[in-house]
This record gives sequence, C-alpha cells and structure tokens, in this order.
Amino acid sequence: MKLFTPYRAIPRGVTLGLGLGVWVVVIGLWTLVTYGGSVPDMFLPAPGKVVDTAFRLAADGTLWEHTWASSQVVLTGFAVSSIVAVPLGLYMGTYRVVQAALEPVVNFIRYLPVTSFVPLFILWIGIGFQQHIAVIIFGTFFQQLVMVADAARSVPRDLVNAAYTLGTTKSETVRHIVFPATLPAVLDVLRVTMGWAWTYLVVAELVAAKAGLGYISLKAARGFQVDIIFLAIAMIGLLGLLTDQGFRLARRLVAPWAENAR
Amino acid sequence: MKSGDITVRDVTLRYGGKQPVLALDRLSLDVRPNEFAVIVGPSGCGKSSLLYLIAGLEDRTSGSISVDGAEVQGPGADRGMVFQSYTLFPWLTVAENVAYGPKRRGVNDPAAVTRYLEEVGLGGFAGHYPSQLSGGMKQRVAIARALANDPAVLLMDEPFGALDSQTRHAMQRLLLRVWDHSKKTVLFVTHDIEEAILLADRVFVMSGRPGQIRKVLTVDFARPRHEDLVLDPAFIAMKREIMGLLKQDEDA
Repeated sequence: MKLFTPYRAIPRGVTLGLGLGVWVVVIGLWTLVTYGGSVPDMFLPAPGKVVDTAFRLAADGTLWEHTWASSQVVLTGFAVSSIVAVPLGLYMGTYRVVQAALEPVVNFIRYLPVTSFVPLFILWIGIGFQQHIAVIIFGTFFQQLVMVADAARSVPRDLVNAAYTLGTTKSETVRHIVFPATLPAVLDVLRVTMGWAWTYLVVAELVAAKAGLGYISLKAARGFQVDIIFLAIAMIGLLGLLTDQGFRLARRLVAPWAENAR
Repeated sequence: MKSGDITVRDVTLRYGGKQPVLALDRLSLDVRPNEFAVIVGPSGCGKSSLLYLIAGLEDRTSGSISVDGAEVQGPGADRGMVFQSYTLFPWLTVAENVAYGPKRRGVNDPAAVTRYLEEVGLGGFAGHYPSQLSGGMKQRVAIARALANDPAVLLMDEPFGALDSQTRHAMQRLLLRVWDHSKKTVLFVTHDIEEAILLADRVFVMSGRPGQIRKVLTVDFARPRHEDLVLDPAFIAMKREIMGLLKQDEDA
C-alpha cells in the first residue's frame, strides 16, 4: 500500500477526500444521535437547529457584532504580543547574554495557568477591553518568545560565519541574517500561537464582557441555549481556520524560497 | 584584483573546558601573494581551526596572524571564505547571494554579478534560489560570492568534501581556471592528498594533534594540470611521501 508508506506524498484527490470524509462522518454521527433521539436536545442541539440559529443571528446582526468584538480582542492582543515577542525572541536566540537574563524568568512564567491571572488583571487593569487583551497577551507572549528564540538559535553557525566573511558586522547579524533565515519558522510560530490566542478567548471574556463569542456562549449556558454555544464554538473554529490559512498564504508570499525545502 | 599574503607566526590554539585541548601548537606558515597553498592533515589536526583563525571567526590563544600586512582582529571582507557546509543565504536568489558582499560596502554592480556567475558557469541561474541547485552548483555560487567581494585572500575549508568524485573533479578544474583568471591567494584545506597535489603550488602537511606544520612540499607540475597526472610516477612518488608523513601519526 503506497498510501501507508511513511512520509510518502499522496494524491491531491485523496487529501481532499479524506479531509472532507472525516467531516462528513462527524456531522453524520451528530445528525444520527440528535435526530435519532438518543441525546436530549438540551445537551446536544441538532445540526439543523444550529444552522437555523446561525441564520437568525446573522440576519439580526448579533452574530457579526459578537464576532467582530472577539476578533478585536484576539487580533489586538496577538498583535501587541507578536510585535514585542518576535524581535525580543530573535535577540534571545542570538545573544547568549539576553538568553541568560530572560530564560529563567520566562520559563517560570510560561507554565503558569492564564486563568489564575484573571483576578490579578482585574485588580491591576480593571475590567473591559484592556483586561481582555491582557489575557490574550499573557497566554501567547511567553510561548512566542521561547519558540522564536529556538528558531533563532537553530540558524547554522556557518551561515553567520559566511556573512561575517562577506563584511556583515556583528550588530547587523540579527537584521541581515537571523531575521530572514528564521522568517518561515517565525511565521509558523505566529500561525500556531494564533491558534492558542483563539483558545484563550473564552477565558478573556469570562469576566465583565459586554460582547463577544465567549460572552454569548457563557450567557447561553445560563439559559440552556446549547445551539448558541455550538454556534459560538463553530465561529471560533472557523476564524481560527481562516487565520491559519492566512498565515500559510503569508508564508508562501513572503518566503517563497522555503517552499521547495519542505 | 587584490591578492595578499598570509603570515602565521607561532599560533597556538587551546580549547578550555574541563579537559583542555591543545589544538595548534606554535604553528607558523607563510603564503605568498597569488599562491595556491593547500593544507593536508589527518582529521582532527586543527587544519580547519587554522583557517577559522585566519578568517578571524575564532580567537587564537597566542601568536600572530596577518593578512596583506594587517593583523587579523576578527572577521572581515578582506578574507573571503568558502565553507564545507552549504552557506548560501537561502532567502536570496543566486544573483542576490553574489551581490550580498558588494552591497554591504554600498556597491551595486549587476554587470559584475553576471560576470562572476558566468565565470563559474551559472549565468543562466541568476534568478534561482539555492534550494533549487545541486551541491556542486551551490559551491560554485559560494566561490563566485566570495570572489565578488574582491578579497585579498580566499580561504577554502574542504569545499568539495561533500561532493561525489565526478563533481569533485569538475569543481577542481573550475577552481583552477577561476584562480588562473583572478590570481587570488588561495589557502585550501583538504584531507584528500590527490586533490592537494593537483591544486597546489605548495602543500603544507600537518601533524596530528597538537597541529604543527610537519613539512612543506613544492609542487612544480606544469599547469594547466589534468586529472591523468595522478598516474604520473612523480605524482605517485609525492603522494607516497605525503601518505608517509601522515602515517607517522597513526604509528605514534
């Protein structure tokens, strides 16, 4: 069986077929257990009902309002985190002094659960947008820092040596060599941590949110509106998928040279 | 085209750590302008380290190194280097790789880039990325890239070590042709004795660790040299002599 040879490429049709097939199975099972009546509507809504709810909330605009509110939280938090973490991570991976200074404290903080900091953030920042993005930043920043530093550290030494023999100075190394060399890896780090940023959304909107997908699903849970929870989850998943594809596209556009190597 | 000399005086290299290693012990050598000098030595003798010291990429423990009269203090564009591993910048095209060094000095000369690429037979690959090239082609670009900077000396650390023997011979021919045109001072490190004799004006034979120059042989076979030279009795005699010199370490 050629399909079961490790690392062997498979035909595009098979890739698409398998990807769709599993979705069909998942939705099929969901349809079966809900319409078949084996799971009460209160716990698991039928697919049709979620679609109806989606149309209803899309028509009256509430779906977009909450999606937009959540996107603002995630994108702002993610952007602020990335703008600091990427350059700092590159320096941390390139300069041992920066690594020696930052690594102990970063490795301590990045294992702390984000949820445990929510009360602190409320105390420090108050409630509202800033507190929500603080949760996203806290959840992504330290992970990004460590992953970008790892990428910077794995730049081959002789690549940097070659740059020196061509007249590159030490202070130019990060900008001229480390940054371009790690660009594909950095975009992959951003893609992965963007996914994590979306997973922190519900935690971010746990307290004192007035809008957002996390907020409506928390509110819906109180009223047993499982269809809305499902819709919110589906929206978060779709937005995650969309940003993931966005970063893949960005990588192809910004670093076309790295495509053959994969 | 610049072409400088290399003077290495009593250079010692000691690696620290729990078990200090004496890699090079008061080593001295001189390479003349325009000369093609080759260092051969057993693996681990410190021949690559010596090249890295001359390039300024490592710090010597003591002794002095000067290139074209200037004491070596760290790396610089006056000493071009071709490495054993592939070191083309993968994010730049072939032409951009060659243009990189001149660009650092604020020089932008596309015609020169084309000329260097044609010199190494890659005129048609200017727009390719390194990932699209074979190993031999990558090293050819690396040679063009080093030459485009017009360094005083060209340091080569087993640049053909990873290539198959066919490609290797082609690369040796190409390197000799390029050297003949540019007349750069070349210091070439290899563990391949035949390669050393085929290329060199003089062969520096190194001892095992701690590395020292055991003997300097002058190679006066007429140029251009052909691979068939390896069958010449005089060639074989020289190869036997170098093998004997290297063997002393195994017996010791």
